[in-house]
Formats: sequence, C-alpha cells, structure tokens
Amino acid sequence: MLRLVAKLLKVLNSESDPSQISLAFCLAMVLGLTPFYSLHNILVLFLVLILRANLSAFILGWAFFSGVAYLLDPLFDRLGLWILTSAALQGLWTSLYNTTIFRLEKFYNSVVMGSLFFSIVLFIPLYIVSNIGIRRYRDHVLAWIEKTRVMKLLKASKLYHAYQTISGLRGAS
Amino acid sequence: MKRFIRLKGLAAFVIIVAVFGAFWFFFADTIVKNLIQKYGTRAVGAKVEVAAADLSLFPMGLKLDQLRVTDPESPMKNAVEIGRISLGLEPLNLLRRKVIVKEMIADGVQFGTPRKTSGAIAVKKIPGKTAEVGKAGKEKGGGPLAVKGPCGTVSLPSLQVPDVGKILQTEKLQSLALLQPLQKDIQSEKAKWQDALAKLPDKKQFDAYRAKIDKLKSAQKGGISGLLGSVSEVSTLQKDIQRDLDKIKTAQKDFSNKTASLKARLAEAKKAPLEDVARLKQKYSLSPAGLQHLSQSLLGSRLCRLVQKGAAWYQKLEPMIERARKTEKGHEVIKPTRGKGVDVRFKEYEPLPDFLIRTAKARIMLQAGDISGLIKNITPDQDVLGRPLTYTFTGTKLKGLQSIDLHGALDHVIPASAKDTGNLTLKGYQVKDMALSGSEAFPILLDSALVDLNMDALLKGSDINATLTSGFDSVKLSGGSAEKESPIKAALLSSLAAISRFHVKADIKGTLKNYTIDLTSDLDQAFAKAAGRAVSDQAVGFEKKLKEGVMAKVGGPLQATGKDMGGLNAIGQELTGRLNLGNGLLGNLKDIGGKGGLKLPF
Repeated sequence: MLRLVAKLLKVLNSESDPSQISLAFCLAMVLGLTPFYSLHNILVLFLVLILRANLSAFILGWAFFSGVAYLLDPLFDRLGLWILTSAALQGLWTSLYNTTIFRLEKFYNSVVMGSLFFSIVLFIPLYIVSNIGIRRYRDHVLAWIEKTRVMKLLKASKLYHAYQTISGLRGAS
Repeated sequence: MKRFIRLKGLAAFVIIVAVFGAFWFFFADTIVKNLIQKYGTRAVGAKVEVAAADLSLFPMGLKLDQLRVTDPESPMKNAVEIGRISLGLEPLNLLRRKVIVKEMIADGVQFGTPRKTSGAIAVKKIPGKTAEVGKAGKEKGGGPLAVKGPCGTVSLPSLQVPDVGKILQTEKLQSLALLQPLQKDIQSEKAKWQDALAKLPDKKQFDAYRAKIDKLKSAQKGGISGLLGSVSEVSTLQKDIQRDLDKIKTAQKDFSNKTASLKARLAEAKKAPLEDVARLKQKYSLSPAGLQHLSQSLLGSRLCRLVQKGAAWYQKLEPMIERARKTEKGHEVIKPTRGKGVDVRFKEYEPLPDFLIRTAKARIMLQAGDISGLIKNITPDQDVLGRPLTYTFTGTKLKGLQSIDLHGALDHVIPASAKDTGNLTLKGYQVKDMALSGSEAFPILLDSALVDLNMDALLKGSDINATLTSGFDSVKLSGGSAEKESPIKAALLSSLAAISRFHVKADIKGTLKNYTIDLTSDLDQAFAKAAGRAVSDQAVGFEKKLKEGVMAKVGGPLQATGKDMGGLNAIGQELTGRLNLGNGLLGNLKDIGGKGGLKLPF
C-alpha cells in the first residue's frame, strides 16, 4: 500500500506531461469501471499503448477504478437499464442489436451500458480536472508541502523511505 | 506526431494480443472442460466430469470425451455417461454471442453406470431443515406398516395377527377417557346431595307432624270447645306440611335434572368399550375390503419413487427449456447465467435464441441393445425460436425387448401455457427377477413375465396428468416360503403361484410437487379370493381378543362407576320416600276435616 502511494507521488512529482497522466487516468477509468471482458477494452488497451499515456498512472488508476466499480455496480445497473429501456432510443438499440460488432460488445447488458456511458460522460471532465489539478499541485501544493512540518516529518517516515527507494531504483535503471 | 504516438506501444499491443491468442490456443480445451465441469456440477448438484475437451476452429466445433453426470441421489452411480459428444457450431452466430449448434452427436449414452469414486459434492446446510429420506417403516406391534413416500403415507395392512397386549399399551381407550371424569362427577354430586338431604325435612320432622295430628284427633273427641280450637291448628299444620313438601319437591326436581345427564353419560360410557373394540379392529385388523387396495400399497410406493425421480430430473433440466425472465418497461430482460446486470432483448430481424442445438442425435446403450434418439430444438428460448423441443427414441429387436418407442414434445413456445407431452410404449419386454414390491412385510418377486406397457403423460404448467397401463403375461411370481407365516400371508403367498397374468393401471394426477397415484390391478381380486376367508377368520379371533382385553381394562372402572350411580339413585329414593310421608300426613289431616271439611256437631 505504501509502495502504491509512493508510486502515485512519484508520478505526480515527475517531469511527465500532465496531459499524459490525465489521459492515463481517463483511460484507466474506462477499463476499471466497465466489465473487463468487454470488446471496447481492447481499444482502451490499444490507445494506452499507442498514445503517450503514462503507464504507471494508468495501472494505478485501473486499480483504483476497479475498486470503485464494485461500489457503483448497482448504480450502473440502474443507469444502463434506464438507457436501454428509454423509448426515444429504441430504434438505435434495435439496429445496433442486429449488428455483429455491437453484439460482441454486449452493449445490451445493463452494467456494460451503464458503466460505459458513465465513464464516457466523465472522460473529458476528468481529463480537464486532473490536468488542472496536476498543474496546480506541481506549481503550488508541492512547493508548499515541501516546506510544511508535516512533510518534514513525512520525510523521516517509512513512506518517504519507500518513495526514495522507488526513486532510487528508477534512477539506477 | 511523435509527441502523441508511441510506436513501441503498437508492438507491445501486438505482443499482448498474440500472448492472449496463444494462451487461448493452448489452454482453450482445458478452459472449456473446466467450465463444463464447474457449471454442470452446479446445475446438477453432483459432480459432472469430462475426460477431455477438444475445441477446433476449422470447422468450428467441440468434442467431449467421457462426460459423466453423477446421480445426486446415488453418488456412487452416474445418472448419465456419454462416451463421446461432438458439436458442430455456427461460427458467424458465435460472433453475435449466440451458441448455435447445428448438429450434436452423443455416442454411447449409458444410464446408471457405476463410479469408482463418489460424485457427491459438499452442500451448504440450511439451518432447521433436514433432508427427507424415504425409508420403509418397520412393523411394530402388528400395526400397519407405513412407507413414507412423496405421495403421502402408503400403508400396508397388517398380515400378522396383531398383539392385543401391545395395542392396548399404546392406544388410548375412549371408554376409559369417558369413565374417569364421570366417576368423579357422580361422587361429587352424591356428596352434594347428601348435604342437601340433611337440610331437608326428614322422617323426624314428619313424625313430629304425625304426633300433632294424633293430638288433634283426640281433641276432636273432647266436645265443642276442643273442636273450635283444633280448626285453626289443623290449618296451621296443613300449611307447615305443605311448605316442607314444596321444599322436597323442588329438590327432587333439581335432582332429577342433574342425574339425568349423569345417567346419559353412564349409558354412553357403557357403549364405549364396544366402540373402542370396533375402532381398534378397523385400525389393526385386515378386513376383506382392505385386500381390495393391496396392489396400491404394494406397487404404489415403487411407482411413486419413479415418478418422484422423474419429476426431480425434469425440474433440474427445466432451465434448459425455459429460462427465468422478467420484463422492464415492456422490454424483456433476462438474468444472465453469470456476470452482473441484466440483458435487455430487442427485436431481432432474424430471431435466434442465445443457445440452440438444432439437432441432437444420440445412441443409447442399454443392456438390451442400442436405442437411437433424435432431439430437435434444444433451447431455453423457445419463444424466440418459435418451435418446441421434440424427441423420439426408438429401438427394435432388442435383447429381451421387442420394441421401445418414446416420443413427445416440450412445448414452451408460449411460456404462460407451457405443455409437455410424452408417450412411452414398450412391447414384449421380458422381465426377470424384478422386485415388484420391496415391502419387507410382503415382498413379491416377479421371476419372469412378458410385459406390454404404455404411458401417456401430459404436463400443463405444473399440473401433471399421466396414465400408465401395463399388461403382464406368462407371469411367474414368488414371495418366499409360506411356512411359519400368518394364515393371511400364507394364503397370499400361495396365491402368487396361481397368477399367470395381470394388469396394472395407474393414474398420476396433481402437481409436480404434490401428486397422487391411483393404482388399480386385477391382482387385488386374486388376493381377495385367496385370502378372504383367512382374513375373516383372523378378524373374528382378533375381535374376540380385543373385547376381552378392553373389558379387562375398562370392566373395573365401569363397575365402580355403576356402583356410585346406584348410591346416587338411593338419594333419589330417599327424596321420594320423604315426599310420600308428607303426602300421607296431608291425607290424615283431611280425614280430621272429613271429605267436606271439618265436621261441626251443630
């Protein structure tokens, strides 16, 4: 656990472009919130690898959002069922239901539809918010934190030791 | 461009996909095998095993070797064992998440094969619920033998002379139940009336009145002055006596009312021993009428267990022909067998079920030979397919069986009015050493017979209606030695040798969970003819012993109660005696006054 938190701090404090970290978080959200064995997750994996998304942030985000998914599954189920049974969209769903690619995607499952809709809607806002957040963290919070007593105490703690170990390993490699 | 694109990532993606592909290629067979075993075991409730699975892509299909399905009721046996199954899949439909099997061939289907190891699985126990196991009860005290079965309790009438002593030890006698409170009530009533008698005018009081009357009579002879004085005294005396008589009359009326109900209860208690005898005789003795339904008792439980087994398997397999579904805002939603959420169905331009075996061919290996079967349209979504499941199994010129034909349909196209039908015809089935009745009290072994059997079954919703008719020809029955057996059992056993043919008809009606089997057979007539006399003789002897036994228990209390009632009657007589005394005195007073009243000398 300490190592995971240390890794997160390492990523945030690194020189990586905030947009790479934010993109990784957003793609991790899609992979983590939606059922793993879904067709769209192949596309997510492809995008993570081909775009310059931060892989450490992606893996951390995936672990985080997978945990959140367990809590939000009942919400996804209701949301998905509401979307799938909405009268205005019946024509669209019926046509998609009759295509092989969308059947493979299993969009007609309430949890798949609910979680995918939820993560797509939040994709851009999360990207923007985390971009801003990382920049602000680096510009203001990091410098301020460095000076605080808490940080000084933290530097003497096991957590910081773990952080340093990882930084050291990275530096060595 | 390079700022956004990571070309090495493309290579990594290809490698990851290739690794997944290779993993599937090498381990798909094991994964499929494990999935079949896992979900099969969960569905059946006992181990389902597959020796090997082979998934092929070109042509797309699946082959399974040695599929073994354990019988959950008997874990050391396989309910079904199939040597080899091959399935031809439609690949395009598979991409649409539809498992459509064009043809399935099951070769070497066998039933009831032995297992080397137990196929039982650990089942979570539900607190407070115990498993019901049908066990034949043991005959106790010559009482009826009860076989607890799914169709209720099937009782075999006693074939032994029942032990009266044991019966009377366990049975509560109605006569004793009546006598004990009655005796108490009589005694308390007697005590109450003895107290009341003490307070009522008695002989002493009436003697005093008599003395006064005598005195008045002598005064009447003493002239005019004495005569005038006695007129008022006579009137006073007359009123006193009348008042006392009224008290006694009221008490006598009350007494009559109270004792009338006690007398009625005593009369009832006197009849009760005979009623006890009749009831116990009815319960424990085999009457000639009881033999009329002996075949139901003997064969019913066996047939009932067969129906129960069939019903249990039907309920296990039911999800394969109709799955649970519900609707949400007019849309049909189906709970997926695994995973989360629900699947919503939309109109399909070319409707197909999610799972369908278009044709299944089977070769069933029986001891008698091979039977071929053809099943069409196996799917849990018949409403989508629009066609029912049909099945036909036939076999001819088998060893010990002229022909077998089983055909029918499981029609769940409209789930609300599901209708399943089945017809089984067996011709020339040579039966050998078959236990016709497994009852310990009266085992019947069918040494040999030639059987023709027809069964028509209809299941509408959960209502079952089935008729089985069978004819047994060239019959040889045995039931063990008749020596040292009761006369009835000996007569029944002797009659078995004379039976050369019989028919059995069974009507099964009710619901799958609660059905009744009405079984009739001409065996009953043969049994009644053979054992009727012995049954009557046994019944007479048993009744005599019962009477003696009941009277031995009831006689004492009955006599004591009668004696107490006699004491109460004596109180009634005493009241009558006092009433007579008083009335006599009133008569004497009238004599003093004469018929027209008191005679004056002027």
